[in-house]
Amino acid sequence: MSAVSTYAEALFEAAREREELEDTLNNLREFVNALEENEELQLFFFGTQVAEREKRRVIDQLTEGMTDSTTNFLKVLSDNGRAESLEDVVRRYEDLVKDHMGRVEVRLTTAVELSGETLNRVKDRLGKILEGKEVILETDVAPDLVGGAVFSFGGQRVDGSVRGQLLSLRDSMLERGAV
Amino acid sequence: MGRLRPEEISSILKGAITDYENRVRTEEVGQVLEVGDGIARVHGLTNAMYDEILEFEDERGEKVSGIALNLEEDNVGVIVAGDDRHIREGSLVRRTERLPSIPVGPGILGRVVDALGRPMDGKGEIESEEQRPIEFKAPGIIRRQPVKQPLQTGLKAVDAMIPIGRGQRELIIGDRKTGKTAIVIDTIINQRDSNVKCVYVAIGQKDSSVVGVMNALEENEALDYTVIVNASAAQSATLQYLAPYAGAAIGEYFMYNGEDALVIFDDLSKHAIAYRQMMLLLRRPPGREAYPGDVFYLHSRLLERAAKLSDDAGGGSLTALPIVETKAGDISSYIPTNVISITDGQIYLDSDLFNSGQRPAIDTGNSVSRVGSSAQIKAMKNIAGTLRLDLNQFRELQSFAQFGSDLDRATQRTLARGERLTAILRQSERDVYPVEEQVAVIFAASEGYLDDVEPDDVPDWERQFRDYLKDSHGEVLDSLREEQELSDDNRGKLEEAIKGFNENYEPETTSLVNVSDEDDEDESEDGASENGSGEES
Repeated sequence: MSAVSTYAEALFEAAREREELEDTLNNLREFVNALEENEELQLFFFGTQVAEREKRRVIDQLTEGMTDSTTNFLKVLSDNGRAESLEDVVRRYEDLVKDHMGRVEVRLTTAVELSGETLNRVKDRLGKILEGKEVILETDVAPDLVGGAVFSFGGQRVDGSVRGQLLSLRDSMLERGAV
Repeated sequence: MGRLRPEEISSILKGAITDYENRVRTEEVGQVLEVGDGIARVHGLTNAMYDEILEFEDERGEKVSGIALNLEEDNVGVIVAGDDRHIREGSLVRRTERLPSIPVGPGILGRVVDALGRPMDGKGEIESEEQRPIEFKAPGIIRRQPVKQPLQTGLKAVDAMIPIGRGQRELIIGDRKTGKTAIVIDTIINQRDSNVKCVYVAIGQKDSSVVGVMNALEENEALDYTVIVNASAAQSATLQYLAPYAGAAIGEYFMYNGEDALVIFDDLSKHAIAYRQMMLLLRRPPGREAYPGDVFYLHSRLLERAAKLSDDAGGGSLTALPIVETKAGDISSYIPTNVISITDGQIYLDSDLFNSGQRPAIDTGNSVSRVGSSAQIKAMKNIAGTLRLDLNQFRELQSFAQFGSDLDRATQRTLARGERLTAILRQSERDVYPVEEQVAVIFAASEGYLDDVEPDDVPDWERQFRDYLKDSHGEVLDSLREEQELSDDNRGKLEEAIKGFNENYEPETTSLVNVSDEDDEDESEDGASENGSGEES
């Protein structure tokens, strides 16, 4: 097992005991986003110039109001010199949480904006297809789809758009090379 | 991209219209986490399989393919076979459920293709009905038979001393600029009448050298039965890694169809380097000389694909001539020792010999063929034995003779014979000739008919003698070719012909000016062939 999943699973267990799975996830996402946007924070978090004690103190301040799991996790990560795998761990943790909650995020991309009513119908249908899972629908509008819709969820992509059909039509007309 | 086939369009369109409603594409996708140096890490794609082709959709909306090589717990390590500069973090990657494959068949002969079978010579699309996977399991023991049929290289030194059989793997090893490529080009040219299909795989070479090879083959009418697979230094490490397997796949097509094929890997040291680069970037642990742990398997699985199939399996063959470049004659470094132990023998080229004018610069002492005389015709077998013996004696005495003390007559005779034999093994580039003529020439030298000819005149003697044989004693050559044996009858006739020729032989008297002229020409030709820089001049 890689270090990334070891940390992710440990964090998951800890957060579950404290019943703060989701809050921790949101906190961590927030932190990762902040990291991405702030160069100074990156230097601080990934750098090795700041003394460990100092680093812990700053992490405490930064994560004020966040869950204990978040604060402790960030500290452990930085103490063990694994700061650079933060993003990977968070991603893995996110998968674990979603799995645990039985939640599926579905991204629905359409050519035109859908009305609330249609969205609800789509959600109902999806709920029936993905049995027993809670569907979280994220919508997106992309006019270049021409028509139809594209659903993406967990590594699958169902393309029912006109654009997709045109593309596959083109592919079958052009005898494509070896690869 | 292929071209549009009018007759197929209407049926495709019709199909598209009929099932318009239920044509929904479901695909498995992932996102790029990071990309660079020809390597990408992809999140998702939990079902991706090892060695599967994945398709990236880059920023410009173009498709770039890659191959999944690292299947990790939460991501997939992919090597990108193309331009990775427009792939971005978050770009879409989809599974194709296909293995890398290459078009094969007679239609690919005469072409220059890249490691994925895409044409590079501007001669249009490749016409082939079949695709073969690039990675293919080598035939097992049931489907093989021992190597027994010779693959004539047309070079006296090789055909007499280090014979290569069809289905054999013979390594060609030597420093840079020792004529390694020249030997294989000559071998390809010599297959003109033997119906052996040739595949020349260039790995990590300069494009200009590959053009040189192509032109040489074309000039000698050898391109028609040859395929050049070019993964030049400018192409990605992925393509350089795939090229030899692609070449083997092209050769295998002919082998499994009962034909004979020859595949040349020029060269495997660069192949190992390309593989090392990819593996280090994929963070696989480095081993000796920083090569990954499976670098032996990398080459052994490739060379195992060379085989002589049993008669039940069609009797085809695939001969492999891998080339390995050494540094300062060091054959004990990692890759050379690996490939030496995999192959059935090696032709060792020596830079000192090359510089002293002995070309091909084959070090007959260090070169072996583990298949041996079963890959020779009987006539050659007869004369090669004495040739090897005489040369060994000569080499032993040679070091002695350097002390310059008085030598008895027998020693002097052995030395003189050895000098002639060494001279007769010289051969200029692109001057390959059939085995029966080789037999005649070597026979004359090892029977002592050349002892009165000055060593410097030997090439001239050889040239005139071959012309004489072809003009006046064609029947000797014919019967040698047909019987493939040096029967008493043939031997007698040959001796007679040699005696007759020697009576009238006179070295071509040329003025000093002419001699040097000719030498210059010879050398520049040799130099140009292997390196193009003409360093000798």
